[in-house]
Amino acid sequence: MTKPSHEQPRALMRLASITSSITSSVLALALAVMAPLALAGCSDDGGKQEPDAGADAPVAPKCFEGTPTNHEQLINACVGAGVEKIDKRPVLPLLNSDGTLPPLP
Amino acid sequence: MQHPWAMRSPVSSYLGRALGRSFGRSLGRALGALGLVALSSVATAALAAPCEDAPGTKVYMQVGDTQEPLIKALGRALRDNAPNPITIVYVTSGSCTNIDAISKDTPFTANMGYIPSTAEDPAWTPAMPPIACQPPTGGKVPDIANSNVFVSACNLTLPATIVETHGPVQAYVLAVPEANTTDKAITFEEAYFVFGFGAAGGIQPWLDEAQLFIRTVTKSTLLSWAFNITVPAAKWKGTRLDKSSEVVTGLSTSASPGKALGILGVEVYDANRDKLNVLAYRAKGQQYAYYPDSTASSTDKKNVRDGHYTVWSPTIYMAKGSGGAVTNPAAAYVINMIAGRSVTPAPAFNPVALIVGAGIIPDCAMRVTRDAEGGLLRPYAPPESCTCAYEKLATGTSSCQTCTTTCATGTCRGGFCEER
Repeated sequence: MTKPSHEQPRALMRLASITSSITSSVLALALAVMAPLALAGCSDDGGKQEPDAGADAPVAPKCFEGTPTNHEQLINACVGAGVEKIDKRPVLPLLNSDGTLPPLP
Repeated sequence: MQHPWAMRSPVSSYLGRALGRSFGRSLGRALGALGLVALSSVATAALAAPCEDAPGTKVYMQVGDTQEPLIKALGRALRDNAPNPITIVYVTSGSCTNIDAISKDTPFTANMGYIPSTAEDPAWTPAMPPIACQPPTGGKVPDIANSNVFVSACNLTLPATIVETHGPVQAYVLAVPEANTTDKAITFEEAYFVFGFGAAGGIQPWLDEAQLFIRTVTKSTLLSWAFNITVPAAKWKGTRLDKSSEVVTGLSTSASPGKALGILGVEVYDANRDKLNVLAYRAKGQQYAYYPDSTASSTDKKNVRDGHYTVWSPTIYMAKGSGGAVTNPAAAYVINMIAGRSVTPAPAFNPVALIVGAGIIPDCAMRVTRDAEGGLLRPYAPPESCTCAYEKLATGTSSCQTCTTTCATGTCRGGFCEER
């Protein structure tokens, strides 16, 4: 049952008083945890997370949300729901340890 | 007497430098042989009439064989085009050979073929061969030459007297047998290892080189893919086949459908969707793999048009001229029509419909372009958009506003309010 509205400020003040000592530390902890995730969800080129990335899912690649002006932005521009995209992470046995391709035989 | 095309041509010298001297010599011989093969397609009538006797204004063309369906359909429509009837006289040959011919004024001396009007042959269809004819004495330098790869891909440079126009876009795909419902996509890196290393590349499930159905080194399908995955055409592993139809047969009749993989022009895949599945492709630096179309089952070529699917080349049309203007007015009429531009007088048919019917994408429907084979994409705004008309023709529907004369925004063209 909802408390009468005139009691809510008092209750809130009591709650604030009880939790005031831990609020700052909780907030600090939350910020410490969330900040890198938030930064990972943004990019300095206007990218955004794909909407299908769940909270526990691996971080999905970013797509470019703005008006593409170059090759990288064009190929990674965000697409509408009607466009099928496939996230494939293949096993590449001959890939160099630094991620580069070896020369052709 | 040895046929001139069988001799070592200047093209082999250019390609020799590009691809290695020994391979260039082999390719030169191959181009000569291909020229003979191409000649044979229209040179079957020993007693062919002179091409100059064909009715009306004539435009001589030397085109790649992948564009023959478009040229036949367009040739028929142009011959019947009451506002400006034109007879297309053409021969097919390799892209690099065609560039070389128009650059150096090399006359074509063997038989060519022309498309008859409906009045001349009402039963003729684009599925039939053209009517063989003899070029003028001394041969004929083509009014229009076509290449399905960039001029630079042949290591050639056009003289200033040749105007280069980009025509419809030809996309290429990697396809698997319909029985393979497991594999949906392939990445740039996987393709590099599959075709560059073969079985040694270790990319599952494409470890059997006999099940990699590829094309010979002069084919635009192989050349375009070669530039896109950075594996030179001569170094590809797999079974080299002369014709796209052989790739389709190899895939569709494979005894190991889970291991089979082949390269095709997208229009060939589209015509064989009941036998094959297309793979989505993830280019270098791309986050996801995409099909040429929005989905595996759609036909809108959306991802080609907006840059999400990267394996395509513009078809290149070349003719004499200066300052971007083609000198021969009939040749200009044909080229502008192929490029999706308005022409005067307006034709009695819809050129965009013929282009879409041939399975290629008109330049006016593209929103990206590139300057080299497999090169970086950049945004593109065609002078006269035909996106609405394209989507209607390719998919049967369009979300664009229809019009009769004017639009609140954009330009009324072909019954749709186009972007410009």
